[in-house]
Parts: sequence; structure tokens; C-alpha cells
Amino acid sequence: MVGAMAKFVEQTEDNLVHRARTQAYALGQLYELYYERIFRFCVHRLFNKEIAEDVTSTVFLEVARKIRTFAGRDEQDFGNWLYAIAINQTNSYIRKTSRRKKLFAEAADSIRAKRDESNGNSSEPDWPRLYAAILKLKPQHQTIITLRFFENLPYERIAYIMNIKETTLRVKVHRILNDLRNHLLTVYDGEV
Amino acid sequence: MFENEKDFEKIVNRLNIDTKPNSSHREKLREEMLSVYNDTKQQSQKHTTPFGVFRRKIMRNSITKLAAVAVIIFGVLVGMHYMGNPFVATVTFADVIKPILNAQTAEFDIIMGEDEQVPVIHDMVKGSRIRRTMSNMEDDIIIIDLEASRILTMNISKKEAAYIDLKGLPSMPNYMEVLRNIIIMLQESPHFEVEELGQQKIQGQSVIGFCAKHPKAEITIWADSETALPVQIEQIEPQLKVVCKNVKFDSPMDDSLFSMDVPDGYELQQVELDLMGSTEQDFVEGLRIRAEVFGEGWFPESVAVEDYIKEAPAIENKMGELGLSDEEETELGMKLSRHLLFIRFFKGQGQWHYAGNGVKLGDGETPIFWYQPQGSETYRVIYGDLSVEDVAPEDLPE
Repeated sequence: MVGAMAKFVEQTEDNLVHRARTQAYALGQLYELYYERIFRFCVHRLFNKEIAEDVTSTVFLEVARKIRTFAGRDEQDFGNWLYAIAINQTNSYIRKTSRRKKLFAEAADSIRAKRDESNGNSSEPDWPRLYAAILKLKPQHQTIITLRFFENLPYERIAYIMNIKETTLRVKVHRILNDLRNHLLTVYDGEV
Repeated sequence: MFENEKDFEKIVNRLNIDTKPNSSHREKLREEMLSVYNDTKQQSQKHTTPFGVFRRKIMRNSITKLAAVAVIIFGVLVGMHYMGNPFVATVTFADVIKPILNAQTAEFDIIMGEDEQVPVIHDMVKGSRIRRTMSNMEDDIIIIDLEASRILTMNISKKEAAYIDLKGLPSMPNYMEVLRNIIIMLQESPHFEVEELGQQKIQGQSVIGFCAKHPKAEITIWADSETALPVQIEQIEPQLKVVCKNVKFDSPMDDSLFSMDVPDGYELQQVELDLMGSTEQDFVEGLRIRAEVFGEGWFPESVAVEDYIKEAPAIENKMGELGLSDEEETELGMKLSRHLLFIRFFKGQGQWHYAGNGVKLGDGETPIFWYQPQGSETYRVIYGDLSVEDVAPEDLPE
């Protein structure tokens, strides 16, 4: 029964991706399925919700322009494609640092103010500090950390999206966490 | 701090990051995305129009020899487009384009758009001539003489033929030679990048892919993994995808297949068409005809060229039912051709946008088409009553 249901779901999603190439309604359904995931990924990569909205928009508008030529067959292909677009767009945005720095500083101040009101004694890194440390990593490593620990994607899928071997990815994660730990020791409040 | 992955996972989980989306952004983006999707290419299934009822009967006896004019014209444009946006070689790309550089003849199927049901255009190329047939118009044969800028179209069942002299097309003594020269010239272009796409199977054949990118074009070539012979070439323009499949080079081709002589017993007609001379007025007139004559008063679902290809046989049949004189049919065919040329050789800035699906001719409130002419700061917006206005970018339809 479970198997049959899984197959039914798979077929439905397959059809949805296929139909989205020619039917706006199907694309709208895919959008509803993926909007939150992509927005959440953008927030984790960009820190600021306003910027995340802008980049999420860019991602889905690119999907709208390219879905008709999208070669993938199923929902997983579509999801991987979406993440690949989102990765490119967020990395591209991060390269343009001027506006991001300002917004980051404002958002970090706001978060810290709330944190201080509720619990200012934690010894763990807060989100602004962790984000600042993540930004010190290479762009590819930033993406890996986000997909693995913030989006909770399995290694196999991240390897596919990032086009690297799973074994290589596992080794990389270990090293990236070491780097991140070192960066956390050197970042200071408000740094980006 | 953290010691390992598990520790780090716990820290991230405790961060309590606010990722709750804003519902108004979500809804607004959804609308915007679907609008872009619809504008990009209106390719949803067409509504079928019964041919028995027309708003306006145009005339009397039916002769359909020129009904295919429009189809022929954009057929030529595929060739033009193919030559005008060539691919480029790099060191890794060299093996794949070598057969193209050395070929004396070429043969391939052309598929425009994404729909699997789209008719297939079959081209045979030798010297300056192309022999073209289409899967949905089996009785029609088209010979294109690029050197003479002339097309011969023949309907073998009706024994009808027409010469179409093309204005605006540069003389090309040898199609393959032109293609070769362009490739060689662009080999040194700094704007091209070639990306290897790896291996896959196409119809059971193991192929390796290369994607050649240029600011104005993106071309993917799939070549046989062992022989490096190209088997499929895909080109994506902003509003059109063209795929050349089943590519073969240097197949023996008899010259008689490319003869521009009209066989005995054929009724012959001759017309002239300016490929580059299509205007906004021509496009508007085509919209009127498509709504009034072929759409029972409703604008077509799409004005994309590939969708027109699918409609071509039905349009030909319908023209036959209209009972037109030779002159009237010629005039109607030419008007539709110029209408299509406006889209196929679109000369505006950026992309055109069509929103006429579901709009009735005469609806003066609804914009159905807009575009930005070259050098203009404003857009031209065509409404359902076919009036046209200049509109500032901020006032464009959403």
C-alpha cells in the first residue's frame, strides 16, 4: 500500500513537472510546493529576509522563463534545479557586498537586541556571529554548510546538486567545520 | 563551541532563525511568475475553432496554392536564424565541429518549440539550395535558392506551384560555405564560452554534449561519443527554441532534388516578399485577420511562430473553404506572412509580450501585445480593438 502510494505520488509529481512546461496551473502548483524551501534557503544564505525575498523572486522568475526548456523528468530533478539556481543567485548577490553589509548590520542589531532582552548569557554563537563566520568560508563551502545543516539535505542530494562526489563531500564537510570553528574564534560582533 | 557535526547541528537547531515568509510577497511573486511564464511563450493547448462559421466570408472559389506562403517564409527564417547565430569552436569543441567545416551536404530535422506534437521540418542542404518538407504538409515541397533569393513551392497533389522572390535576403552562393566562414570567423571571438555537458543517450545512441554560450545565443551540440559526428543541435533564443535532430553530413543528394524548374502541368504563380520590411501595421493587420477570419472574433492563444506552424494545415484548409479568388488568397497569404515576419525578425528591444488569449476583437480596454521599439523609451501597446498607444514603462500592463 505504501509502495503503491509512493508510486502514485511520484507519478503525480512527474506529471506535474511535465505539465508545468506547458501549463501555468501546474507551474503554480510547483511554486506552492517549493516557495518556502527556496525562501528559507535564501534567508539562511543571505541573512536578511528582505534580500531573501528579492533573490527568491529572481529564482522563480528564472524558472518561469526556463521551465519550458527544463530537461529534468521528475520532482527531484526540479528541486535540484531550483536549488542550483538559488545557489547561483545567492552567491551572485553575496558578491555585491555593499548593500548587503548595511542590511546585515541593521538586521544583526535587531536580532541582538531581542536576544539581549530574552537571554543574553548564552555561550553559543548567535546567528549574526555564526553567519559572519560562515561568510568567511569559500562560496562553495558556504553553500554546503547551508544545504547540510540549515536545509538538512542528505549528503547524496547535496553531492548531486553541487556536482561533487559524495565521499569528497563528506571529507569537505569535516574540513569546513574545522575552518568554521576557527573563524568563529576570530569574528567580532557586527563583522561581515 | 562545537566538536563535531552533531554538535553543530544542535547549535543550528537552537538558533531559531525566522524564516517565515511574507504571504503578500508569496502571492505577488506567484502572479508575477505566472505572468512571465505566459509572456515567455504562450504554448498551451490551442482552442479548436470549427471551420464552418466565420464572421466574414471573404469570397468565392477556393484555390489554396498560396496558403502555405507563411509556412514557407518562416521555414526560410529557420535557415537564416541557423546561419545567423552559429556555434564556435574551441580546442575541446574542435572534433565536434570538424564534420560541419568539411561537409558538402547536410540533412537534418528541425523542431521549433517544446511541444512534442510540433510538426517536423526536414531540410536537405546542398550548395546554395535547401529542399524543405514538413511532416504536417506532406504534399508540399519547398526549394529555397539562397543565391537567387527565391523560393519555389509546389503542391504535388494539386499541381500548383509558386515562385516567391525574397527581398532583404543577402545572396548566398553556398549555404555550407557561409556557415563555415562564420564558424571560422567566430573561433577567435572572445565572447564565446564552451562548456562540456558530459555523456547521455539520445535515441539509444551514446552522445557527448557541448554548450556554446554567447551573450546573444546559446547552442548545445550533442555528438556521437565515438565518431564525434553531431547528431543533435539545440539553440535557445529568448523566445524560441530550435532543435536540429538526426543530423547527417555528406549524404549523396541528386541535383534534381533541388531543381527550381516547375514540372509540366503545374499552375504557376509568382509573388514578391520583403523579409525585413514587416511593420507594426503589418502585425496588427495579421492580428485582425487571425481573430476575424480564423478565430471567430477571438484573438489566437499565441502569436509564437512555432504555434503557427502547428496551425498551418488548418489555416490552409480554412482558406480553401473561404472561397477566395487567386488574388484575394494571395493577398491574405502575404498579409499573414508579414504578420509572422514581425515576430520572427522581431526588431524591438528585449522581448515582445502577448496577452491576447481569451480577448475578443474590439475590446478596447484590454492590452493584447506590447513591445519596446529600438531606441524608444516608451512601449507600444496594442489593445483588443487594435488601437495602439505609446506607454511609459511604469504604466505597462502587469
